[in-house]
Amino acid sequence: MKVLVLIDGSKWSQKAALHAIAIVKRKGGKVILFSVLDRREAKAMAFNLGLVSENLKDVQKFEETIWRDMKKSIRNIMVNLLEFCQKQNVNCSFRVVEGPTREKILEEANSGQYSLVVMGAYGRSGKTRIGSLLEDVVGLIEPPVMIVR
Amino acid sequence: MDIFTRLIQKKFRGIAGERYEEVLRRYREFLLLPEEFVLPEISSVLMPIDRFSGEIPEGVYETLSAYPGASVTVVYISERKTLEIIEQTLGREEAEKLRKAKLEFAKKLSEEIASRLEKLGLRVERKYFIGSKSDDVITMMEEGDFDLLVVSRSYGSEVSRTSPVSPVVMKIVQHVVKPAMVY
Repeated sequence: MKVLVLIDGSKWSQKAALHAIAIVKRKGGKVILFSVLDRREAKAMAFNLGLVSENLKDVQKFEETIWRDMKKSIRNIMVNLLEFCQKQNVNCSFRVVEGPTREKILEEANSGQYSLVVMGAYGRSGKTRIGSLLEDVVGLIEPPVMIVR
Repeated sequence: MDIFTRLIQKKFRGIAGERYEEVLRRYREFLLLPEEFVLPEISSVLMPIDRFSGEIPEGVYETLSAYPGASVTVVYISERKTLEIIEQTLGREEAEKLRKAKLEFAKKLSEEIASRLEKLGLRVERKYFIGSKSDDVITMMEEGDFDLLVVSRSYGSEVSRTSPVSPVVMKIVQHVVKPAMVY
């Protein structure tokens, strides 16, 4: 079976990956680790950083640094999960795309190739309530969705 | 395990320096610690069903078949409030007729699902009772030692394109702390 794991870099999305790996290890098939990076997130973080540090003249530099770090960070997480999959003899690959998160997730999850989608319950802040996530994403994903805490 | 130790060491120990242990304690909600980096075991599943639940997709059966020997509790809860309203408006006799009809339907539906699950090597327990679909599922998840909840997104009420998840499921999934599979 083919299982899609939505990785946003949070602890919960990594725990979600462990569930997917456990399932595929028993059932066979493949785990796809999928992440969406939204440039607007780096932009917002940079602007807030500029405001807080009272240094808006360097805001574009902040944005570039944050964007580069976001890409690097998610890649590190993917590579570590891939290594873990290899140790478990589980077929696994990863894909990082750029764009609007919700749209990209729905496009991938509903592409018709997955038996299951696994995701963490909270985002990186750890404070997002699951309500909006349920309606905006989970409710619109066609395959069953496992939400992990 | 060692992969993660390495990652944490590389990413955080260098940055935090002498404050590594303190940082780790304070921010552990954001870090997957080495002791948490293990493949999870699922041995007990709660599966609430009702007439709104609809057909269970193959992906659910396929996923559950990854847990051979696990026990699945298929539970059908008839909403107490609905029965009370029927009794108040149409009388006790009608309410009793409805209760019996619901019980018959619950048994039939549970049997269909249970037989499919048993073929996958799962142990199935059936339960029917009158109560609250949301509160009782939350309580069962809290007190019943279940590892996984499997629930239809339309459990408890019909869904639409603009409200793709029923309010009952919203409430349940917001409260349970164990993994939940929504189909």
